[in-house]
Amino acid sequence: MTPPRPVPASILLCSPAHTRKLSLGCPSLDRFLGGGIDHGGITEVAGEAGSGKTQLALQLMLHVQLPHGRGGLGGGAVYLHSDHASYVPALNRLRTLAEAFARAHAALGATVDRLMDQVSVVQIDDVDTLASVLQHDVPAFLAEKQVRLVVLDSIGALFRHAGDDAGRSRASQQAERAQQLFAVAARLKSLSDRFNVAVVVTNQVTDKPLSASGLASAPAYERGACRLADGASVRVPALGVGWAHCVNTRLILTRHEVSVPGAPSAASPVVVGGLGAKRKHSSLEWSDDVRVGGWEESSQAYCSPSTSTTRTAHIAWSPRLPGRSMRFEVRDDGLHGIAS
Amino acid sequence: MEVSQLPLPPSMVEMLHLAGFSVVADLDGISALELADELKMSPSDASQLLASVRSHGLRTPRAPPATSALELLHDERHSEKIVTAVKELDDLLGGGIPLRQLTELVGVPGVGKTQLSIQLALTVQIPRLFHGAEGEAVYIDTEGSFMAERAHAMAEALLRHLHATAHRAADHAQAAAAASLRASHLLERIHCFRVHDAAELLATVRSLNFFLAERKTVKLVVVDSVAFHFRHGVSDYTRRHQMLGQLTQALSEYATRHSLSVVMVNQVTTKVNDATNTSSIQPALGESWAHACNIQLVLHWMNGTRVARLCKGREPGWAEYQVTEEGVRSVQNPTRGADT
Repeated sequence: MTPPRPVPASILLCSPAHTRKLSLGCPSLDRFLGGGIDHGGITEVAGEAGSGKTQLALQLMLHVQLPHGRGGLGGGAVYLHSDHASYVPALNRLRTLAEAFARAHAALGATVDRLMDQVSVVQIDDVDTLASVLQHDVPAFLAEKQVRLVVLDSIGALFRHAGDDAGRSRASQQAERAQQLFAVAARLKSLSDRFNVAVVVTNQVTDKPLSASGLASAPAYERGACRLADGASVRVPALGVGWAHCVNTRLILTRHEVSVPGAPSAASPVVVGGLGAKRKHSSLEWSDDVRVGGWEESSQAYCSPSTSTTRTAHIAWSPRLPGRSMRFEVRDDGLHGIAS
Repeated sequence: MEVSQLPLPPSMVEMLHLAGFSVVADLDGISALELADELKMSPSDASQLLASVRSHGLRTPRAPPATSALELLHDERHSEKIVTAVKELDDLLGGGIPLRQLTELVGVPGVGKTQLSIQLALTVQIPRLFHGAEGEAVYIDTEGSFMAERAHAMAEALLRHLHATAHRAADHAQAAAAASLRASHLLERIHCFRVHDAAELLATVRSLNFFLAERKTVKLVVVDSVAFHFRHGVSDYTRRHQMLGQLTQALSEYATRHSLSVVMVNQVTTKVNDATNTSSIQPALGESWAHACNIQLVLHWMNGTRVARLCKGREPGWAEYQVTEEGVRSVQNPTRGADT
């Protein structure tokens, strides 16, 4: 085995593969993400059902096909899909997005058929299938085709019930699951580095009891998620601290129902503008400003008869960006940031 | 002394490694016949090999070469510490991360382990005129988290700091030294290795033997992280233990031989206690590995602030820090504590 050669960081800085970003197609969300999704490493998008995480992944699979000058990476996408129930709906949504996308980029020759043809979908039934696909099929495919994005949707669905076996201790099951998780992460990172592809992994959220010391002392990987109405637990990305270590950039999408008439700014300012406002006060501090304290008030809004959905994207951590938040909305053509 | 340092053909070294002989002392007392059996080679070859080992490795250690007073004086001008740029933490450490030692940096995801590591790869380069170690850095990236853009932003901030320091002191020599430095120069002196599995990590660390002999100015070796690749792929505990031992032993030798600092990033894991059905956060690599490090810094969250806790090496204590756009810095109104 030839040991790897060192590369000076100054060379990495000039390497497009190391610095180029994948645009989301929305200028304000791109600014929020410092240009877009990183080309290297694993970007996780976590959120509850309906938060927009799959929508974001689908959007990226179209944008990646744009040439570099237009914010894309000039290649296709591989879509590793794990949830049988949402398989057809997800592809239908991809088609709807592709229609809007083709209209917007008709000048570049984009058509629905071409766009859909550049997305290769692989159905993943279980963890063993995933391991085998990542080890054999995906590298072979990436060596042949011009692919610049691999999406795994979702890691949480695959691993949450993996290894459940009544005959074994909880500790030994967790140890095995952790090994498999780390192997998947290492494989994805290696693919990203060797084949120069961006990797986006979606994840579910899970409810975790809140420690006695409360949310204020919670680490970043337990923040940016919402506190539940019972006040005793918090909703965090699934798969625990082990998987969290594997994630280079963690994005969390949340949604809240807020009452419409005048209430947001007066009764629960934190819900709509609080995170952004907090950021202004401590623009130097990274990720500490992703606080969720105000959200418990918003649970009252669930009772309100006239509500609208407020969606927020949070950067829980990133190797190059401060923790921060931005509101967004989901339109026919994808996610759009709302400048505050 | 490691067998890889013996003047043997690489194939022979590899055979020794495969048979489990990693250090010369492992061969102590073995007969040529026994070795021939172990290595599946002819007894005459084995006896030649042993003769070579005996002539180079197993003889009594020589007295260290005499050092001239001039060399000693020269040595004195190098700082023996690498500043963290968090004043309270540097105070705890007696000036910074020391050369010739192994330092473990452990903490939860997103707390700033990589940020501090990248910053150390820059502060190790602070010129002697500014009481720095004026060295270069080796950065072994196992997780794909080293970001050249981030290093560049921190380098710019460090240069601004040096300019300001020279200006405040009205020191012309310092001002000239600062003016001659560019962020790109600092990045050129960070030598990055990207490794994808545990075997590659070990091979890379072994190959540093030659790299460090060529690049005598390297004063810092970062492994970010040492844990990741040992959490998958190496399921056999004996093998894992052995590889980790070889890794730390090699790094420890480099630290002494080249008067450099080794910083090893460690992850955390959730330990489940089946009996009490409780769980707690602990460093990922176990106790047997931890004692290889002279200094342990635990990074964690306390009441919403990041805290670096010095757990081993000097008087225990902790210091708050923050991660800003400039890098890792002191908080505005620091509190600092001694552990009870």
